[in-house]
Amino acid sequence: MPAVRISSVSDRVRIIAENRNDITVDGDARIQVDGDRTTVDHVKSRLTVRVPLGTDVVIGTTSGRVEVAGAVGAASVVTESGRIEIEEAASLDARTTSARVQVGRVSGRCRVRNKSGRVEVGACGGADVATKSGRIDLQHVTGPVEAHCVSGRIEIRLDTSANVDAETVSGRISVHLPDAARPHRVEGPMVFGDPPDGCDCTVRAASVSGRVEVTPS
Amino acid sequence: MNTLADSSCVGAALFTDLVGFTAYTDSVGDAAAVLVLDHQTEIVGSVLDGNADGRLVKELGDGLMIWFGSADAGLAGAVDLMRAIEDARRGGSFPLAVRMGLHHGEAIERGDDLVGQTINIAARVSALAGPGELLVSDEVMGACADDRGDVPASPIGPVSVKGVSEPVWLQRIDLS
Repeated sequence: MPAVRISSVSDRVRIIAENRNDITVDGDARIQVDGDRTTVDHVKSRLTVRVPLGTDVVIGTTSGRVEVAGAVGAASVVTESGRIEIEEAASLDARTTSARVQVGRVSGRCRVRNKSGRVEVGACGGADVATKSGRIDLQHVTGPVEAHCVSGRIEIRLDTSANVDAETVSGRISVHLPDAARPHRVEGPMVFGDPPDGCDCTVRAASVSGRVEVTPS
Repeated sequence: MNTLADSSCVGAALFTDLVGFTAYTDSVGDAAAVLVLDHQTEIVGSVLDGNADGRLVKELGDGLMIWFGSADAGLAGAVDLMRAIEDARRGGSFPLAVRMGLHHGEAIERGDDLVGQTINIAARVSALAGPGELLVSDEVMGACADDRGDVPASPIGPVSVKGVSEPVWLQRIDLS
């Protein structure tokens, strides 16, 4: 499967994954091809890169916005302040300092690191999200979740029973499990491994001073 | 008088930071927070005892700067330290996660301290890591021996560092 690596500073990067066999770059940049790997750097204008469906993408900007349309493979995005929008990926690693992160669907694990920006994930097969003050909103999750923040609110809605470890210092936590879930609640350190008999998942939701809600309890 | 060349060295700089330490201190008080730092010092000491090529350069509040004489020693030491702290967290004896960043290159010795762009970049790499994460630059992986073991890594992307013309490409070490 091909892979694309892009390094931009302030210029917007737009990836379009579509039914095609080649990679095209529209914009002023240096392009290097090494086997299946294409590296685009020294970017001097807005970029639009068209790639085959399922292509792995690695993108870094300082302030440039990153948009990924269509279904890519493993996606890694790092930016300081550029907004990140991912429509669909097989897996995701996104890191930013202050940008908003908006993700449509990730079939595998979705890892996001942010300080102050909000993180929204429409659907994912599991999540590992950490912010400092940014709100975390994870919907239609079907795998294990780790969500940590200091003062932001955490909302997690699972479609299937899965382990949840949610932790804040002062933010509010809401965990919505499926109606048929039989959670094992723990207060101390997260217990890894199988839940005890009679339970189908382990849930730890801890906030030092914020309100915690887990349904069904 | 030493020349600049005499005082330079090549190796790997590791920065660590306790995630949420300020908020934790606010909630439990100074005395309990200091116990966490003491425990961290114990864990680091035990890891460095088994890594002859590493030394604690300095403490930076709740963070640490550690220097290793080679990329291999740095990667091994960072992995050992992260695993030791994660084990302590799971066992309930250590309340906070740590983030780590490792970069390889040249540094200048200044007394017991080290300075230079390698150090600056390592600090920046650490700042991008999340709780329980170890990020390393491509320079670390490139300087490691081919048989650097079974440490899997996945690409993170390029980051800009002030004063450095080319972006630094990062990888995440998978410790699971």
